[in-house]
Amino acid sequence: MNNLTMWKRMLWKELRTGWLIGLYALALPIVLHTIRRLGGQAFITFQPVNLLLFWVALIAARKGSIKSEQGHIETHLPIQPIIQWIIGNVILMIAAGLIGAWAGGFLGYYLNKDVTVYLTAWMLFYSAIFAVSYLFGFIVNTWFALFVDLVWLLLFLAVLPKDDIVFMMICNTVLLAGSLVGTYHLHLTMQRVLIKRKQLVSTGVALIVLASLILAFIVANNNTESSDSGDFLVSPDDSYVVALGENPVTGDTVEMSDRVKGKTISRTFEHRSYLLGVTDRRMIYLAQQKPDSNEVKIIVWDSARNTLRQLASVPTGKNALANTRTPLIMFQPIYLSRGFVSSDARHALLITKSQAGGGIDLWLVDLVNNRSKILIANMFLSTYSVVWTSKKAVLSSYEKVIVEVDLQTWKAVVREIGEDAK
Amino acid sequence: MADNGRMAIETVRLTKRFGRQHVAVDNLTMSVPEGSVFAFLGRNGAGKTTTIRILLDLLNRTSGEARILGLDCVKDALEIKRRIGYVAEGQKMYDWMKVDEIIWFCKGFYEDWDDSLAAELKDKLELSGQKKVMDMSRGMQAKLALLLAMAYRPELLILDEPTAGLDVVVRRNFLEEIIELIQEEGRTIFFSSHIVHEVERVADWVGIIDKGRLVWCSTMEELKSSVKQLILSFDTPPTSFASIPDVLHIEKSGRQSAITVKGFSDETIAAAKVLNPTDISVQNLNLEDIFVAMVSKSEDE
Repeated sequence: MNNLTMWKRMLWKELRTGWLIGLYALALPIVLHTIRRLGGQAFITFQPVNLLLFWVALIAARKGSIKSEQGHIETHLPIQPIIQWIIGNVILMIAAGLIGAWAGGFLGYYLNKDVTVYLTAWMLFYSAIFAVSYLFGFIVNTWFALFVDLVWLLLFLAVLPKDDIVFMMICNTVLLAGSLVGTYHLHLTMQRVLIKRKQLVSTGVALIVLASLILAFIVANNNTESSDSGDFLVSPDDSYVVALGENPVTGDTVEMSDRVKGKTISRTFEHRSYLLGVTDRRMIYLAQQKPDSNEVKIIVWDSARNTLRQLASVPTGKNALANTRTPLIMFQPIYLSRGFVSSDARHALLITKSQAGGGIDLWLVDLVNNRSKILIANMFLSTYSVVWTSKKAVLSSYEKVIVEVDLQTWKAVVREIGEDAK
Repeated sequence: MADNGRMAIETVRLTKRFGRQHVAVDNLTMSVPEGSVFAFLGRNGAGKTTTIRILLDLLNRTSGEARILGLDCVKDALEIKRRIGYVAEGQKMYDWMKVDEIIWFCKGFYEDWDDSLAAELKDKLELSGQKKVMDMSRGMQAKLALLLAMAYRPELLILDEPTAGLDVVVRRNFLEEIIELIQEEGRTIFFSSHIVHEVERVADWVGIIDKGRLVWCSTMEELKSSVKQLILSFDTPPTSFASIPDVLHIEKSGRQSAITVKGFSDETIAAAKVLNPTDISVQNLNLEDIFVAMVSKSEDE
């Protein structure tokens, strides 16, 4: 019998037994997307939920695998052990990696509309974890498995209250690795020690976890405001406050609250919007980009008349208003202001995600004549503020850098700030 | 039995240790002739399944040699799996597959798979093609496992406790069906069991293992002619039966003593007469009695 037939039969078997994981892998992004649309973003980015999502997949993956059961017909078939190993383990590793990527890494980037960068890395990471935990599965005894589970729990408790972002990032990786090994061992322990009808109970546990997730989401969703605060600005004369509320379902809402009269008016925008500036004349400037558009539009909402007008169209490329990150902070996007409008409302500095790398592009936009130019491409800055003069815009950043933009020549100069200049 | 002098299975000083203390198979030297129906008997935990798993390269041996059909059990494991059929104790299968699906699945691994034989076996064993494995009784599952092990006409069929867990009627039919099916073509069957009385009807060779050691290996005929029970009656029973050679088991009841011996001959009678019994009779034993006597002897030792 040729090897091809054996491969086909084994793959057929794996696909048939592994349909649950396949279904789960396909359903996961749809489910997550739906949850996000319904406003449950905080729920699905919560670490334990993330882990549960992966655990369910792992259990599903294990369901179809036949490993060391000497009484099973598969161990008696005349098949090269390497074929059996590849089909039985490598495919599961890839599957686990895929699921892990969805549930862990991909999810995070998916939520921030930046999906491709670390997908491969996450797949490799989860596959490696699966392989390691699989090997431990042979070596480990019950007590060791319980010990790992305990370490996982303690790590988890240690990390949760911390606010420090770098610490969180380091711990998250350790936590994730520990969690996977721990939960996998827990599953093995259940199979070996407690449960006779392994497949039935494993599936039951998976379903219970899934049902719990849905229930928890419903409860969490009922307790969540439909809109959360995204950004706000105060008018120069301090007479009113403009707040941006993000809502993926109904669209972003801009609220203008008059601090003197105590009145509030609002307007909802179909597309994701970012506040750029406000003037004393109740003009609110926003940046918007449609999902497939290559342009960022700068619009102004005249809240007194409740009219909208487009001022400029900037050819930034797609996805230019997505969150950016600095190279050091790989796993955590940094939320930046997307731009600033000069006090005379003639110019705007627009900050977009660079098309040339992982940094930002700095644009100068003439709001009167609808002109724009990229001044600096692919620059790395984290937080910044802008001071406008009649001829210049001076942007200073956390990285001890200032950028001087000449509004007449449309040129920018980057200077580093010395210690004495701080 | 096709007595061509070739051996289907051969082990030489085969040993398997688990840890430092437990010896599951102890210096097992055994030969199973081609064409025989070989019953490998032993109590639970005697080492039957361990031996079979070593033969099939499912377990590593500690020392010794093991060959099947002249092939080394480790180096030629793949070739061996192609040429033999194996049904494990409580054989597990993909319970979500239908009978026809699992037949199709297994067919992909054997060049010599015979579709017509598979169909014939399916009929004979009354298996429904559309029934899922999980919906079948243990008896039917055992029959399916047998079909899957036989449909490529293996030269040797190894059955590890094939009837364990089946009820009496199913057990009886099952063994008879196996013998009928495979012996038609003069192939070898090696099967382990601890249900001894059922083996007697079907086996022509017997190996008895106890505590990992082979305590007997011969044809059924030789075994039965060798192991007999002497019933001795006395006016005054003797304190010792040491004069009788190769005693396996002694049972005293008043003035009568039942002595089971192996290697029975005229010399055994002569040795018994030295004890001055008032009466001597010789009884043939069934396989179960012989087996009990053999393992009791081992226990005494």
